[in-house]
Amino acid sequence: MAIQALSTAASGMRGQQRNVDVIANNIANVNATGYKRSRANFEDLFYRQVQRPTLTTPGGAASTTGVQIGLGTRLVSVQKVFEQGGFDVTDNPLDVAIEGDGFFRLNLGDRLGYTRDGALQVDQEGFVVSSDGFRLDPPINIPIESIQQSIFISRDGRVTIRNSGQAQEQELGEIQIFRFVNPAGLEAVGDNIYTETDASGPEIAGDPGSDGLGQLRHRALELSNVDIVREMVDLIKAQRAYEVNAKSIETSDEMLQTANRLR
Amino acid sequence: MLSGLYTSAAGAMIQTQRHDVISHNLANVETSGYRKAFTVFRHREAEAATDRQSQSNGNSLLERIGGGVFLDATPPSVHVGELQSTGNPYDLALVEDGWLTVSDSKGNLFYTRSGAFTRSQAGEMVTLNGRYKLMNDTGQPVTSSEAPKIGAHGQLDNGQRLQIVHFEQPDQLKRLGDNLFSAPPQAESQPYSGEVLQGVIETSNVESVTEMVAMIEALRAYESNMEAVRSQNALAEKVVSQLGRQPS
Repeated sequence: MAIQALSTAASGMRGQQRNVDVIANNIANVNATGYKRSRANFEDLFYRQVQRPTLTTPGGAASTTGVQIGLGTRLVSVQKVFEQGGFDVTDNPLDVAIEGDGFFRLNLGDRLGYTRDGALQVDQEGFVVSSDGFRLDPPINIPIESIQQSIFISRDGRVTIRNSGQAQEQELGEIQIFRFVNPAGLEAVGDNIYTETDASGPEIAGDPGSDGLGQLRHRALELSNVDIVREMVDLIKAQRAYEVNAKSIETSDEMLQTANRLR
Repeated sequence: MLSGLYTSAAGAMIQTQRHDVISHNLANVETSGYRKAFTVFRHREAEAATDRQSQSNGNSLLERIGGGVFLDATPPSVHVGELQSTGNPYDLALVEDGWLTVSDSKGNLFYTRSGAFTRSQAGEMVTLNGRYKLMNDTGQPVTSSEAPKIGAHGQLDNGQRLQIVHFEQPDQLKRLGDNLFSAPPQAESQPYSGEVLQGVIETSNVESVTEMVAMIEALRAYESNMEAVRSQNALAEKVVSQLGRQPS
């Protein structure tokens, strides 16, 4: 009945509302370093089988599955899309971008987190930390008295320093990066940080540039992979989809009104 | 008596059912791999035509009137939806009419066009809700220790091959929700021969313009039938109130 269409269309509107939420979050993060855009995935709800007035056709047995009336849609998951973002060359000696697969590992205290945001800093004790203050894991310590301008991070992750007046480079440690079989399965916990799940698979460690891992780019940052044009197009699509579902409710309403006016 | 009233009511009722189907199509305009449902109407035989008595009497007028209409089937459209590149190796799309085979934990087989998969702890490719495993052509779940690399004919780099089927009569498939369909045992199928794309996803094949036009059509057809109910009511009222009245 027309009443079914009302709740079906309402589920469609709800779904599109969530879709707009996801797109809006992408647009808000168009300038967030290392941000990966999200994608909403939908599936259809179950179906009501409608008994037909006659079960047999003139030819004999029923030929098709008959009438199935669907009950709408639902959001099944929101996934990250790990396409490479663009690069921005900076002058900050602790900016590092990953070109290719991989994540920096952070020590969140009670667990490990992973990020592609390479805007690194040094904390009070000289440890290299993420922009939110979580230490890299394994940790790297840079003596505070060292001159920042002379820090160099190689493509394979070696962090070296040359103090003024010395010809010899001093190695401070190596940045390890980690990859996952299915990065889209990682759980985004905010602050550009992800945690491991069953779907992502366990971390695979390695030196940058080896074993399918990307290389490091010193004095560069990975930009957000949000393409604003694409998001705007998706936003228009989501809004129109919301509107057609609203129209569907209006139509059901008109049908009910007509029925009410019969007498 | 007044059989036309019921004919018109049946006409109005199927339009509400048609609107239910259109609403469901529109609700799934962003559901990947969703197949638009058509509505197929059929005219109902007049009772008189199946009644031997009237046949022998040759009541040919009633036979021609017919018994109205009913919604007969809601088969899926096999038209391929728009393909969108995602870059995720767990996303698959079929370029032609075919179905990816998935299985539940009891081994029942289902068919889907929604190629958005993720990974289980055991390295199998599973649907996004995690409940169904993608099958290979030996009837086992597709497994891959690394991110899968799938070729244009559905073959993996570890020698497995996706089980993809093409159904001769897609109107035999039954919708189950969760982007899944089931096939009856007698359904005729053959291996899919078209191309498989990785890192691409098929969007819904619902075109909202077509659905909106169909929705307007359904609304107006509904109103016309209701109007017919109303005018027959008016006619009946005239019969009751005026016919047989003595001229004063």
